[in-house]
Amino acid sequence: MNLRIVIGLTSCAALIALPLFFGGYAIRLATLTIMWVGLATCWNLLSGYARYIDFGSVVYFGIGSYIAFLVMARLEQSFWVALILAAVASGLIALAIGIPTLRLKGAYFAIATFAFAEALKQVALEWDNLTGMSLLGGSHGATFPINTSSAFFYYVFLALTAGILTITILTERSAFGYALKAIAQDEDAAEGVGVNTARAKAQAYAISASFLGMYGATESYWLTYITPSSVFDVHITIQMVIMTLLGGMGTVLGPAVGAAFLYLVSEMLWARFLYVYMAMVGLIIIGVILFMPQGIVGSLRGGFPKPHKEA
Amino acid sequence: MAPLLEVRKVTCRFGALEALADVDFQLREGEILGIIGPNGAGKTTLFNVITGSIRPSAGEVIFQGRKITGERPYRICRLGIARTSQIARPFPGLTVRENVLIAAAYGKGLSLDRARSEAGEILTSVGLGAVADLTPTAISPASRRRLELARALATGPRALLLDENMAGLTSGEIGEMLGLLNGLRERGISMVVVEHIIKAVMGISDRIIVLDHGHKIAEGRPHEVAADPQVVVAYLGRRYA
Ligand SMILES: Nc1ncnc2c1ncn2[C@@H]1O[C@H](COP(=O)(O)OP(=O)(O)OP(=O)(O)O)[C@@H](O)[C@H]1O
Ligand SMILES: [Mg+2]
Repeated sequence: MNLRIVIGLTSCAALIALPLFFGGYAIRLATLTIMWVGLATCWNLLSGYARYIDFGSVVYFGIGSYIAFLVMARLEQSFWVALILAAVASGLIALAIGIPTLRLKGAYFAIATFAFAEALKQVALEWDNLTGMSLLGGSHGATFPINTSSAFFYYVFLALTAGILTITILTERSAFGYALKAIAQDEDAAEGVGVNTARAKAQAYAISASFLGMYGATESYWLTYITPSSVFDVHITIQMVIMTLLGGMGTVLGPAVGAAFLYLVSEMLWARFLYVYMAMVGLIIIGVILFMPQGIVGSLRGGFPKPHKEA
Repeated sequence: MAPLLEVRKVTCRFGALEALADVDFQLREGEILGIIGPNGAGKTTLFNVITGSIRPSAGEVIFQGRKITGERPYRICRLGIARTSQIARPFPGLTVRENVLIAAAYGKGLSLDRARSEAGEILTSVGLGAVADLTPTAISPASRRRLELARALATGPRALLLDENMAGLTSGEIGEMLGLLNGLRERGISMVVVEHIIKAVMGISDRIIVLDHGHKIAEGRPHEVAADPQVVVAYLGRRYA
């Protein structure tokens, strides 16, 4: 336990000090790794713990991106106002969408969330055409005010990721975490012992959506230019899913490990094997899933069969 | 005194099948009510209606003077009705203790720390103290039945519905379970006991009702019911003929 605290504090200090010593590519790499760790951790909260497979998580990333664009470029407010509004709007939309769709089970929930994300992408693409406004920029995209400080974005992402990881740790230690796990295993039995399952699922969904909204807002401001296809891209969802599966669903560290692993491996391979790196990434994913079906963290921790004692 | 739980003219149809037809009964404070009836009589369906997991086609359920039909199952649990399932349904990925803890935390509204100690006490009281930190898959079927009971008890029920909680137990284990249930009655928990093991249910119940094809065909003290010719034909007949 003490060792864990020491390791934890040391890595926090190292992460905070990182921009003082590195710049350029290294800081960019670190920023993106931290972002993906956070995105996968968001996905894990509902989909990993309660096993409601969300296949449209990117929708809140996209909503956050466009809220930030409206607040910063159209209303000329600060990034912090944009960040808060992105969180609030994403969370509220998630409640409105989640309360009906979280009644769906299994593949139906996955399909409903996927469809919602695709639909919203179309709305963002066609909004200006349909309404005759020039608000979102449609497929021409939308441009943010420029901020060139790479340390700024590094620290914002670091804070967001620290936030969602802390929430996950607290969840794991609370009755709420048990409720989500019970929902994953037998939802009717969970309801039967007093768990308000609809509420627990909606809470997890809305918390993760708020964070996804903030990630979208921050990344879009960082990139300065977005289109509906870039911020509602289904590949962002797929990455979150694969990273979480690789690391281990329903664990605190699994998505973080999976995200860091997949992102860094992809970066390394991409630089060296431009043409075949996707195939190599695919092979690595298949290998991990075959040999570590519980994910990297899950297999290291609980992969060994537990002793079966008849009582 | 008003009954603790009252089922009024409950009818439950699945398509053309009438699983329950105009069923009425009352559970009084401190009472153990036995329900017997052949397979498919509607016993489990009746429990599903009471706990809110199935909405009846007609009729209502009153608990402590208040209509609970249409309420969500978690609400009904928190109001004070708990059940065990015919097929034990523990959360397989949680330990035995965590299975009970979650019921105490949510069903009874305890803080996590208090729920943990409550779970420990309940597990000891049903004789599962030694296996509290194993997973439900690692304990014997008889222990899983007790876990089902422990989890229901942890929600702090006033009325406990037991669905064939003694099926598959040895006669020694049945004796122990009956002892546990008598202890619960002394603590003021009223029970509805669905059971195929006639001797056990006759011995422990204050009153018995008999269901057959969704109809209540008899009600009374155990010896009266056992002597009822309709019951003998419908149910006991096959064994007592
Ligand atoms: N959800 C459902 N949908 C359709 N039919 C159902 C459903 N639940 C129960 N039934 C039918 O209703 C009838 C009553 O079933 P129920 O499970 O209540 O009987 P039971 O008295 O508990 O029987 P057993 O002693 O075998 O447990 C059966 O014919 C069953 O097939
Ligand atoms: Mg049954």
